[in-house]
Amino acid sequence: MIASKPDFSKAYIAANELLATGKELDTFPFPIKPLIKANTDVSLCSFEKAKRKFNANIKAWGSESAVLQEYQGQAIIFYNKEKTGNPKPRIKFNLQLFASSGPISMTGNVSEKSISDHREYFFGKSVHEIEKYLNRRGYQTIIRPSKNPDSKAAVIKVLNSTHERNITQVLVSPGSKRHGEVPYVKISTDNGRYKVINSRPEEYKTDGKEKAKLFFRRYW
Amino acid sequence: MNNSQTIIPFAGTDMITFDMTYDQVRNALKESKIVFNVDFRPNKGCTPEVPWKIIRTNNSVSVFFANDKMFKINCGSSSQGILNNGIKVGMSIEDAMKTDPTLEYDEFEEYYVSSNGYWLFVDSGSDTISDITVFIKAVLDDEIFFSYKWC
Repeated sequence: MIASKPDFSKAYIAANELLATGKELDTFPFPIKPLIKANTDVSLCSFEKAKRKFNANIKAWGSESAVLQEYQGQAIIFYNKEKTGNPKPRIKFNLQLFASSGPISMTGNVSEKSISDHREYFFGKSVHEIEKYLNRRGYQTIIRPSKNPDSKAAVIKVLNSTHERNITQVLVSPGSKRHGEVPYVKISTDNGRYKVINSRPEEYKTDGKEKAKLFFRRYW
Repeated sequence: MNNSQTIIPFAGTDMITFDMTYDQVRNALKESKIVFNVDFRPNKGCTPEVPWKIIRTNNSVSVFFANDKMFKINCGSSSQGILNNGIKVGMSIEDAMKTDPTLEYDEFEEYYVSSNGYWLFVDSGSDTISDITVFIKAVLDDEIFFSYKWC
């Protein structure tokens, strides 16, 4: 698991956008779980459940109230029921936490750093799961098959790219003859290409001429 | 389908041409005693969701159909396919680019595109051509092709 430090200034803007536009907000105070479910891929887990099911002591990560962790690409907010109370006074804190997770910002922007920091997010996800994630960030998309004759890859083509919403297309490959059967996701933006590869560098075949920036799975 | 067959952009090969139906291709292969299998690609979730049927012969030639209309033929590494300009499977990509200066690399999908109507796929280890693909004209335009209005 990787502890991740949220970017609070970015998250504050994104959380406010959600507060203004979230369809799930019809009462106040509002339940946080439906909002998170509808707008993010983040999972929620109480400290108590983590202890009971996985024998994990979340407080050992340094927070008495809530903490965002990433495990095999899945962002999880662990929260302490005893501290949140009812009605939950920590809603604002949680919104800030989840809004800052994942490689794509709430406004649809990705950068080399955000992809590098959150590369595990893409691993193990199908083309449809990645498309849904893009759609939640405001992208209108279609899926088409790859042109490569032996490939089972698919391309998510973006129909409404802008300078801010800067992804133009995403190729999701379960592995190919060309690159040594390792799964990867290639993200094309208006200012560069990035390939997130679910393997160690030595397992990936390349001619060394690729212009895309390569990010391999990290092992701890 | 014998080895060392000629591939002609927008037309097909010596034996398989784009005006043939799925049944006609199967019959032609059977008559020539060429072993093949049929692969089905459902293209689930694609827009629109048009499944493909792919006839794959034992000498790595693949013939692609959408709604019984042939749209693409791929000649792989053991096909010994040769284009009418002399470019062939197994040739170095460097030599191919000298023969056809219109070849351009598509960085996103990682293949070479010729404005003369074919694609080349290259083995990343040896830099030699592993596959030659020819297709119908509709394939040249993604919007026309992936709407399948030509089916």
